[in-house]
Amino acid sequence: MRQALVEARGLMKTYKRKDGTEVYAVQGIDLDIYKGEVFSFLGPNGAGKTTTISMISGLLAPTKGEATIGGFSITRQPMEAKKLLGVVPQEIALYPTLSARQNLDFFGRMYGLGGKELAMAVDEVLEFTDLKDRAKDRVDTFSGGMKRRVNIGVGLLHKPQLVYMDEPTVGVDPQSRRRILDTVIRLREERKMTVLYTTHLMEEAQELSNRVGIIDQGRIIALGTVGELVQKVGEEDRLIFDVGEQHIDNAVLERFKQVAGVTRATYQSYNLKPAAGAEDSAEIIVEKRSTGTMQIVRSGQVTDGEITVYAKRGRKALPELLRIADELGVSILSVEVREPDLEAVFLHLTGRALRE
Amino acid sequence: MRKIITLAWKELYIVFTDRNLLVIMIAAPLAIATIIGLAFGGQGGDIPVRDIPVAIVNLDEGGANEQNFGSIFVSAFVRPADGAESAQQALNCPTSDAASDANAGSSTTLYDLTEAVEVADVETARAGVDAGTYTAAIIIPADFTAKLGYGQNDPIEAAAIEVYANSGRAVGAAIIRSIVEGIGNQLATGSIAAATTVDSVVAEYGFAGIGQVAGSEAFQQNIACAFTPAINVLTIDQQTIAGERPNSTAAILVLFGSAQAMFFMLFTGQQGVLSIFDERRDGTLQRLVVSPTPRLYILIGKLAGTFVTCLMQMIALFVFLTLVGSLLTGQLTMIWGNNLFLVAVMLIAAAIASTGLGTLLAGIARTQEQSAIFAQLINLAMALLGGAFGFQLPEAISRFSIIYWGTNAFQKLAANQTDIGLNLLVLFGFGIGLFAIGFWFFNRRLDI
Ligand SMILES: Nc1ncnc2c1ncn2[C@@H]1O[C@H](COP(=O)(O)OP(=O)(O)OP(=O)(O)O)[C@@H](O)[C@H]1O
Ligand SMILES: [Mg+2]
Repeated sequence: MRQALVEARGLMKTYKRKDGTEVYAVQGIDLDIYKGEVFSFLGPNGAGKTTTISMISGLLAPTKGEATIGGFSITRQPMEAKKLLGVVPQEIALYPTLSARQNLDFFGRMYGLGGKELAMAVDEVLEFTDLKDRAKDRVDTFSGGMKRRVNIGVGLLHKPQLVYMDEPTVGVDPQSRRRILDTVIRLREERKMTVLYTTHLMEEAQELSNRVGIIDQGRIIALGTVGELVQKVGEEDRLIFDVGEQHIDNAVLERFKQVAGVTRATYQSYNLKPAAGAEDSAEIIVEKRSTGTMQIVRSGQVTDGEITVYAKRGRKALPELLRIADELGVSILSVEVREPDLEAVFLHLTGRALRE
Repeated sequence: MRKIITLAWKELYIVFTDRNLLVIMIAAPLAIATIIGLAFGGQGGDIPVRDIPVAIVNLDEGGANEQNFGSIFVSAFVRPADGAESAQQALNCPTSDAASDANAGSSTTLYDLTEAVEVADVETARAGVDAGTYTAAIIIPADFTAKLGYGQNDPIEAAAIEVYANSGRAVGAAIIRSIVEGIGNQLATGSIAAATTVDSVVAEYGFAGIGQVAGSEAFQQNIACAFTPAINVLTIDQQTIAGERPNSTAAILVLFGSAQAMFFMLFTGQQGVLSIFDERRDGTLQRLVVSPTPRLYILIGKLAGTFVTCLMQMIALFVFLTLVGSLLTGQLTMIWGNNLFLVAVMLIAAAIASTGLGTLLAGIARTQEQSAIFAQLINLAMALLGGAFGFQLPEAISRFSIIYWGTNAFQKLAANQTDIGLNLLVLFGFGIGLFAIGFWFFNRRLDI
């Protein structure tokens, strides 16, 4: 039996709104996180990821329930429990007018480091985050990606057993995102750290995690390794046909459903919105919701439609599906065949897509 | 403890590396105080205040034996017709040889200091003050003599003679008020002791300094006799004044410098404590809360940092004002007086009061915006009441302002008086009281 580093039992958080109504942000979470694993919380916006983790880290007092880190209760022995935990918050939390080194130094002291030990820890973190040359510069002169790295570095300073990272890749360019993901892997492989990671991107959860907890509306609705979770949805592949701006009527979907192996076919159209600030450029980069991939479109092109077909052996059904599309005059811009993944698990469990 | 020091040090570091903040904290009050100091503090050998226009209304109905202290009072200001009993005789002031000698040279008397006019009714006098014709109106009540008749040895009730002052003319009004108080006391106690001559008083402090020494017992006893025209003890040798010029400039710097310093320190105290809202917004507060640092330490660190910031601001301003005073007078002048220990204690008291006020604000305000509005209102009120805007309101009102208590004490200390116990009590009490109330609320700021 693996040893649990974090144990949460019946964690609940209820917020009171100004008008007196209550928000049940977290509605009873039981959870073990094992030593040395990367555990991901995967869930859509507002699912309760941050709230859960805030309770585990001692930032929020639970309305009910209890959590321990390394056997220390976060409410009754907070100092001991917090020593074991390094936190990388969702938003950058640094003193902008202090330098990178000063920030690290200050927070290091707050974790009880001092003297030589502190100086070495700071140097090591600067090395690890590749910020040595800029260590003396004020954080407010840093690029977004560099700030992120300092933000992560602060959480690693005191070599905690457990590092918690709350959506560290939100609003980060692809390159920096890759870097952060690699950092997480290095933490587990090189430093044997336990990582608690939250994200609403299933690719991240899938790539990084030993185990994933899918969280929705304040509850864990599925928990296990990626393989275990995927088995829940059976062996259906998803075929995603990009149909651009064409209008698709039900007749098309009905014809698709008659193909051997196909169980369901749905059509969704999206309004593609450019990233804030990029509205005016001729070419805009948008994130396609279903696949999470970046796509360059012309600024005029704002809608995008997809037909999703669920099929037992997707690849086999593909030629027939394409033939029908051709016959009905639907032009297919691209096709993607996706084997069962966490997205599908979420869809299967909730009937909703992970990103709304 | 190490963590608290680290936290406090971080506060200081952030403030003192912020150039814009330093300009507001130090350069601005210094500039204002210096400009006022230059404007008021004697340029050349001129006496800063002369011929203060005063209206005097004598409603005194007199007492037995045709005694009328009111008219004696009037005669102290308005040159009496020949043959009338002089105020000096009535007060039994001793005629000193020194005074007679002093008469020989060019001299300034109360008649020169004020331009007093006897006015028949109160309304006219007040209207004149309101219109700016007079700096102040002195109103002697109908029962003035009657009241004095009884309890010969009781000090006069301050309210017995009303001084209706034009709030726009702080210095002049303050002088009139102290003179009236002095003469009133003389009449009330019938005391004739004149241990020192006003020559020395004026020479020592300059006219502008009169306000600050007026509080002392000895001064109040002396000044009535001193200002009595017949005795003409008050001879102000122009040369002497010129020689003593440093002191009048110094007095102005003390008055306005300390008021500005206190005023700007209020902002520092509030900014310091309220920065917890910024820290919450930026997430650094959350980071601190999830570190193994007790919440109490985080609070104490913030407050201690703010307190030390306030204190350092005050010290810096006092040092710079000393330099300004010395530059203006051409010689090193300890404008804050010789009792540096008490000055230091006062600075600490003032910084505590400011931090306490900030704590309360941070505690009761719901949002940062709300607290910023509260802070501005409170500071403006404090400044208005406490005389930081260059005019003084009646003392009874000023007492509501911690700026008054600071400025008042610093003036006393500058005059080498040490009776600042009440000031210390008020400032410490105010600071610690608000601190306690605020702290209780302030705790909530850590619930994220
Ligand atoms: N201080 C608060 N007061 C009231 N409701 C809150 C508060 N904080 C969070 N909530 C609510 O609790 C729910 C869970 O929020 P939480 O921040 O934990 O979600 P999340 O999974 O971290 O989402 P995201 O991916 O957007 O970060 C949301 O419905 C949110 O509106
Ligand atoms: Mg979140």
